[in-house]
Amino acid sequence: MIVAEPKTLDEIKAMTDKFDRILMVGCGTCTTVSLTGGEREVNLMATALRLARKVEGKEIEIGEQTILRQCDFEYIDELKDADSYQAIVSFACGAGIQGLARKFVGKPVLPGVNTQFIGFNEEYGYFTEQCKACGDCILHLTGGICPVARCAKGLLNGPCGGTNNGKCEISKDKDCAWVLIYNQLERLGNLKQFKKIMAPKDFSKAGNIRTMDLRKAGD
Amino acid sequence: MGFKEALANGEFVVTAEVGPPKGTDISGMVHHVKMLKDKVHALNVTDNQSAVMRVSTIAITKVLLDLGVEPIFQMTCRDRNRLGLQSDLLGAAIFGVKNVLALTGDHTMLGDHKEAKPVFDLESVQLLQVINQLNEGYDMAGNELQGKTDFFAGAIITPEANPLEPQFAKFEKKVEAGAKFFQTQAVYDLKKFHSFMGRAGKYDVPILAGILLLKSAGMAKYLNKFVAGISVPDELIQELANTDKPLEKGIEIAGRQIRELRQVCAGVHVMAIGAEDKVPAILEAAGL
Amino acid sequence: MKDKVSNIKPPCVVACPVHADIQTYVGYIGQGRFKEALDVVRRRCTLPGSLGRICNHPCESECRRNKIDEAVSIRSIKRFAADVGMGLPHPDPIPKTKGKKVAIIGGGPSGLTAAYDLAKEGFDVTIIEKNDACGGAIYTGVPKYRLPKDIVAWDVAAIASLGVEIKTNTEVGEDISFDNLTKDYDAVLIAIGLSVSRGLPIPGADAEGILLALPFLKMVNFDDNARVAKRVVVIGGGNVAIDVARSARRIGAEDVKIFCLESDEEMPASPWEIEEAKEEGVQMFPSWGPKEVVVKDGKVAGMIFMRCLSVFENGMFSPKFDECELTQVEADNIIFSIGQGADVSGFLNTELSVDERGRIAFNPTTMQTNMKGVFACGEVVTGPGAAVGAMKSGHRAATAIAKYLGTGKVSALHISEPEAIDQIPDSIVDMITKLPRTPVKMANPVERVTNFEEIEFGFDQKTAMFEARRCMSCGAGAQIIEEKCAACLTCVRVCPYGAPYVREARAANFTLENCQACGICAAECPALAIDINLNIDTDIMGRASRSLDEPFITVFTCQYSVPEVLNPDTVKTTPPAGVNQVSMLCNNRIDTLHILAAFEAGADGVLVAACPDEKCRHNKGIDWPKIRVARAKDTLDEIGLGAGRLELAKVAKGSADDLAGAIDTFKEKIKELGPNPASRQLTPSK
Ligand SMILES: Cc1cc2nc3c(=O)[nH]c(=O)nc-3n(C[C@H](O)[C@H](O)[C@H](O)COP(=O)(O)OP(=O)(O)OC[C@H]3O[C@@H](n4cnc5c(N)ncnc54)[C@H](O)[C@@H]3O)c2cc1C
Ligand code: SF4
Ligand code: SF4
Ligand code: SF4
Ligand code: SF4
Repeated sequence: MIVAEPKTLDEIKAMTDKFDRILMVGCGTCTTVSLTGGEREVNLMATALRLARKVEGKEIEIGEQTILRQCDFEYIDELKDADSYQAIVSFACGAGIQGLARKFVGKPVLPGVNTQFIGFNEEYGYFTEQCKACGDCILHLTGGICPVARCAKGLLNGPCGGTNNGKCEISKDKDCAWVLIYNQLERLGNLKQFKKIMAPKDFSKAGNIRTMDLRKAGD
Repeated sequence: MGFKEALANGEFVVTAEVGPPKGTDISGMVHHVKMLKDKVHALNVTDNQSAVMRVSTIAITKVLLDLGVEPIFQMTCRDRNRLGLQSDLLGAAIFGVKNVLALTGDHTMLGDHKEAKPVFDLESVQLLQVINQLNEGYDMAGNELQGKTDFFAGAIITPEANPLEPQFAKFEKKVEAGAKFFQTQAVYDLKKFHSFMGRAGKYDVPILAGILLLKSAGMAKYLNKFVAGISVPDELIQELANTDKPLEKGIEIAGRQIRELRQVCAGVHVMAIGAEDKVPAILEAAGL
Repeated sequence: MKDKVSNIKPPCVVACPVHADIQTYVGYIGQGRFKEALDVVRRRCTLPGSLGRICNHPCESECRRNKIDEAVSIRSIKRFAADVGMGLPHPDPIPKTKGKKVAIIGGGPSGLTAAYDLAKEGFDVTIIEKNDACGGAIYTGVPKYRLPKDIVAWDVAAIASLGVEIKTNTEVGEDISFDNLTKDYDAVLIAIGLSVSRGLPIPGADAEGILLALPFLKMVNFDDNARVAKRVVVIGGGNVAIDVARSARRIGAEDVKIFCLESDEEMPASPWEIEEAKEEGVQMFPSWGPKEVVVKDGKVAGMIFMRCLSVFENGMFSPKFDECELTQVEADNIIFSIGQGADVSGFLNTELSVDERGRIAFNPTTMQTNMKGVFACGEVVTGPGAAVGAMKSGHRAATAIAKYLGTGKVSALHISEPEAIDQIPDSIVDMITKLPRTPVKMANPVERVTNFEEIEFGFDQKTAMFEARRCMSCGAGAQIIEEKCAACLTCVRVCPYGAPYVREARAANFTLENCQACGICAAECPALAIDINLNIDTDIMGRASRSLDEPFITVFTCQYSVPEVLNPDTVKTTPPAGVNQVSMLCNNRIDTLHILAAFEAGADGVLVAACPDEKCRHNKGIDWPKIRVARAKDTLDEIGLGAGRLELAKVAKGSADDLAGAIDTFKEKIKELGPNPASRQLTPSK
């Protein structure tokens, strides 16, 4: 799932400074699950912003609505009176925010969250990045542990010299993906895979304006 | 005699390193280089060491060549993608740089520009392959070069890494990828290093043991606690703690260790971060 | 395990014949919302003062707390609600909108209940009662030491105040004819109960000194000079026999013996009644059948009993005796307490089909007699039982009559019976905090047999609230709004009791048996897809968003932590000036949104009063209010209101002083901070 982090009230306040009637739109899918963009967060942010604006003596009217997904026009269509607002703050991932921007041309659509990563929900309120959407999955070679996403340097041929007691050089709290991979491949009896030199990654599969077209050409 | 040749002749090889300064004033660095000029076979030139921004490595290798010192061009994968890496290698070759140490590089998070986008398009093993390919006359994409390189490529290894096994497997990969020599992270526990060499020695590549000058017991403890792959044994810490002239003690220890290492490996790589002026004394203590 | 909230109710509610919404009113008492509690009681239990004293409370036997420690003292809590209500005005009259008149013959529990329901529906109801007051057997039969007459009168007055007309001293068949009633009213309900005591056709049964239970109890109830002889034998094993025996002790009998056919275990009287009677010196002689009265000079001298071997055969009353094993006791009075029958004399020779034994032709599915528009309810048709059973019958009759008067047709009633949720699962029994049942205080037996003063003392406010808080809100906890659920599993992860799960349907669901209604999940659900049935969000929000005319703070209290209440809805306490109290079932449910809502409503500060860590009802649940207050503090800083306007206070369980102290300190602090800067710009409320 896509994990997003809430923007601070200060950021949202600054973005919406010149408006006095805005709509906040939550997304009922990924950002709800990552506890940052669902009905609750929208409600919380709207209340907080209203209060903050009252403190400044500049009241603001905020509509709140949460739709199932913001990355589909059909769901975006459920936003009925969005046109009557001066601006829209979206609490979806970057795709959803842009979905609203495309739908409501001519209206400022502002991000309510910082989209973070494709992640795993480890436990209540704790998410970890698992995939960089590199477009060329190599998990079958790495014991099901992604070095692209989970090694700080995205190395493909083993740990760097900074690995220490199984932790990454950038933080003692983070596992060294390559130690995990080594152990897992050992468990799988596949260390010879580890010893094979992996060629540089084909980043052309990740770095472009990517599209995926499953439509079949008609005969 | 050049670095590569000395190794080939089985001489006990000594290298040290210089750090490019932050800024355009290189006088201090030049002073150190001159001091070491005749005492070492080659000098490593670090590459934005510890992810701290400094003068470009290529420029400094050129300074060394002009001073008549053989440089070992340390090249990390942190700051350049594969285009940058290759074009810099070609540039260095034109200047006359012969030796390259292929490194992955510390993460930007550890340095002084934490907000930087780290590149890591390639990493050490792949960089070694690229260097060999340039030597063959082709770039990574398989295009033929007009004029090939003739690099002597090396890599590093941390003999006391914990856990060692994945590191060692990577060492093997580096050998396979074309590393012709290795410099190691600082070693202190010579017994352990012995047994490491028992395994690594099988691969017919010269290994230069890392010697890092211990300036005090405090520094030794700091290294143990914070630096990956370094472990200073308690006896050495005691030795340093029991003297009121720790720096001299450190020089003595380093010299002693180098003497012992002559039997074990192909040479030493002496690091004296911030005390480059002490390197001659160390070498003297080592009887070199 | 049950997961669908359809007609699934806590076992107490299911066991209660009228399915009173026990957990709601118990919950309200726990929160100090006494008047609301009484309103809920009345909806099903129409005589709260009386039933709060004499109900046989089958609810308590089924209470799920029995598996943890002991049942919640439901009856006494109800009594407390009623006792508080006695200080309040009676309910307002209900406009008679239906334009239809109903006559109810008999003002006992069943008739009164039907009257209540029909009046609430807008029918014009008249009760015709032969006695000088309503109440039926609980007025004439139940002795005053269990149920003082003014309590019955209060219950009746509350029903009368709805606009029900009550004609006392009016006996159908005597003062007014049944035929006239059927002519004058659109519907007639016969609720005449069982008002005649049965005798026994044994030798000597007509001797002087033989008495019957009902007339005896009526005498005891209404004749201050009533007396019996020193030695009294009571025959019968039911509650009526016990009332007779205990009353006899109070009017002069020193030696009172109860003889009954049933064995110890089979005695139909309630165990607590038997116990209390023994405390008062009444002796029990089970498994004896009356053989003959020993008569001397036409007067009772004693009685001979034979051993009773068994009472029932294949579930039918068919006593077997061993006539060889006999016993004889001396007595001056013998009181037969062996059953009641109906007095249908007023209905003989009418169109109503009734036999000499008092049985009225009656269809229990329509509640109708053989006559169109003439219905029956209560013990006259159900046979003897407890008052609450008669009330159930009254509710059914009212439904049937309302239906008939609405449609002109008589049809079968389809009232779906609720299903009980299962007992507490073994897996969580140990996780539930043990809280011993609060004992009900009783008068000392030696003293109480000397008079007819009420022997049971009700709970005071503090004990009532404390006892109410023992209720586990069974099955009234988390409820899913399926279309909102994002199946994120947050609830599954935060619930301490393992209640939520996410099914194939990709929406969370809750195992009713596990849920303890702590509310933790509801305040964390990112989709706002969970509500707590007994503590619904709109209610909390409504109260959190209340603004007072003066500068004020809002205080969130946990009903498990603070007994005395500062709630404007309560009767006995008034809130301190400048405090808006929001009482919640449990503070684990507090939501950052509730806190912000209070500030939006203009509160100068918000105090969250929670239990000390080790006292939290839900194990480590206390971490949640802490987390949410911490989050809200951050937000308040960002807003510019300042974290200092919000505080979490630990209030020792049971200490209102603690809370009051915390409030005072907090108010001082807020005074220094000055008024809520977000409310300055607010336009004054209309
Ligand atoms: C001694 C005793 C103790 C009891 N103790 C308990 C107890 O502790 N707990 C409990 O739950 N239950 C108890 N009960 C049972 C309870 O009182 C009855 O279940 C309940 O009263 C039955 O209600 P009802 O409306 O069917 O009839 P009743 O209460 O009998 O009411 C019938 C009413 O109709 C009136 N009536 C009869 N004929 C006419 C007529 N022709 N015209 C006008 N009015 C008429 C009567 O005067 C009476 O008021 C006890 C009963 C008795 C007798
Ligand atoms: S290899 Fe690529 S696609 Fe596979 S998990 Fe890692 S980043 Fe994602
Ligand atoms: S704990 Fe409460 S809701 Fe549950 S059975 Fe007992 S009284 Fe009823
Ligand atoms: S926390 Fe809310 S959205 Fe998430 S699974 Fe539970 S009910 Fe559904
Ligand atoms: S968290 Fe509390 S309210 Fe929610 S399901 Fe669990 S016990 Fe019930």
